[in-house]
Amino acid sequence: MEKKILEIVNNIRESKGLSLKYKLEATDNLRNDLDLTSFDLAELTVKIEDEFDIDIFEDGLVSTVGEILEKLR
Amino acid sequence: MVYVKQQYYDRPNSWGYIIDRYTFTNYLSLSHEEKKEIWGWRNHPSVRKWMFNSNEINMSDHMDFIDNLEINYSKSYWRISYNDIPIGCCSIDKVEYESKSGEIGLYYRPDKQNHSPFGIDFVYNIYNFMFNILGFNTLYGEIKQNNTNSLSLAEFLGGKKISEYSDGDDLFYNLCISSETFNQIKTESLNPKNYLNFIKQNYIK
Repeated sequence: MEKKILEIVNNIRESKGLSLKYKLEATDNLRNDLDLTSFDLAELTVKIEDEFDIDIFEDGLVSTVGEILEKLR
Repeated sequence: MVYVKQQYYDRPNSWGYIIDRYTFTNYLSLSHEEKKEIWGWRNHPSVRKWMFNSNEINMSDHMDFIDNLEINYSKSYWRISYNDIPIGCCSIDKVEYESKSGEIGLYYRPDKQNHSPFGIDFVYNIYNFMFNILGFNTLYGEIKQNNTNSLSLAEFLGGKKISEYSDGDDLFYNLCISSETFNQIKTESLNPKNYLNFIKQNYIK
């Protein structure tokens, strides 16, 4: 699961010309540490939903990688 | 719609509008410290990189610019607060009084960009303010091609691309939205789920 999230995050980062991440930490903040904008978070949500069939923002805002993983478990 | 035009009695010639939880305060009504705070937001790399003039501006020019708004009727600038916490700014420029049109600008305060899911509520309330409080019929906007945040929100709320141009470095889209189009939007449709479906169909490859 973590590997797939990393792949999705890196797809988004790559499309913005950002360097790839080799590892995600649960404490990584989606905006501040991974440099994701509101639109990127929307794209992340769509891609995670396509992959796992779970809307990570359904119950409110998610701000860290750990919170995403929590929703997927 | 219920709104209150608020006079700040402790500051002459000052005014603002309160619409539900949002307050729009004219820059001319802000204190020196409040104007200085906005200068910091405007110069933040995450804000200025999307602007037509993406250079840093010095504080003296910023203050002069605001002072000049007193006698410049072609533009007005507003600080936006939500539940009394400042969260961003909006502006209307190149105002044409006959056609009731102008060019809109807006940005989030850099550390408040997660104020509402994907910014939908923020942008909706700015459009609502421009159309239904200030009384504009048509809003125009210029958005950089790679500013997918602003582009997708503008289109989600009814904005249409009408042309594009390059300044040599960047490609910009000119967008347009009318009050009629905006007011046909049903607020219940402005939920994150519909926005996600919209970008899935139109933006995500």
